[in-house]
Amino acid sequence: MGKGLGALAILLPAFGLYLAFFYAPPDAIQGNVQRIMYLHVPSILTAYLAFFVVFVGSFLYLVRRKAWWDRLAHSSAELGVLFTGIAIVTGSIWGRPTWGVWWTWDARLTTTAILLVIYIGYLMLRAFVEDPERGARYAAVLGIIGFLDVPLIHLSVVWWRTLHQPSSILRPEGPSIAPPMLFALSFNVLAYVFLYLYLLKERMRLSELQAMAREQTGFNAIP
Amino acid sequence: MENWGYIFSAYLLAFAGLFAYFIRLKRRIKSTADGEGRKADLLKKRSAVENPQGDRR
Repeated sequence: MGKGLGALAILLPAFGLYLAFFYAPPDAIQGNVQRIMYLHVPSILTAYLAFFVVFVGSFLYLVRRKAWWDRLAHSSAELGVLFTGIAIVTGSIWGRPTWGVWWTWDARLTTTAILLVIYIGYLMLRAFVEDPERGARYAAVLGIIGFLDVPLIHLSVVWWRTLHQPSSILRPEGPSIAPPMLFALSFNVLAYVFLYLYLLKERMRLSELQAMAREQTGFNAIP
Repeated sequence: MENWGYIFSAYLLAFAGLFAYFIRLKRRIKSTADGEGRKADLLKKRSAVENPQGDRR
């Protein structure tokens, strides 16, 4: 299963690249630079998924006190930070030719930056609290509260006047983009979810090895 | 204006980031697993030195 997932995690994004560059048509207004969307949107949606997993893992850890849920939340938080970072960097590069700026304190960009800071804080908390059980408990609370920022990000373009465009897919009236673009985008979202699942499996393996090392030595040694 | 420089920069940076994370993750797994193996070997050796006849209690 592991190798199959690994193969899918490479093949699906590779085919997604083909769809983004050769199948999807250029945007009528933005031209080819809009092709960054096939990377930017899947990255942030994968990050939302990762933080939802943190939320579920943290909640179940507090309820059941099983270390497996904490390891799931911790692993997923690291991946969420990675995918949010990618979404912010690619969004910034897309913003320069379309908006004329690398960054602006627009509601969606600001709430996304806050999300990144919250989960970097989550990872720092894990690293700085010496007692792993106490660290897990504190992080679980932050993992639950931090997730509240995700719906805020999604609704920021509805609640406030923003430079960032409103949602094109996740909206009550249905998707507003052309079918070939929607197919390429949906495929890339699926591809990134598989990439996330593979990385999550590997990150969980590392967490299990670290837990075993901690049990044997009594030290919180993280390589 | 096609802006291919922006497009390729975005894709290159994103995939470089993903690849760097993947390589670092694999190294962390390997070093942790090696540490486990080394520790088990050392414990076995220490036990052999401290108790060469085996535990007869």
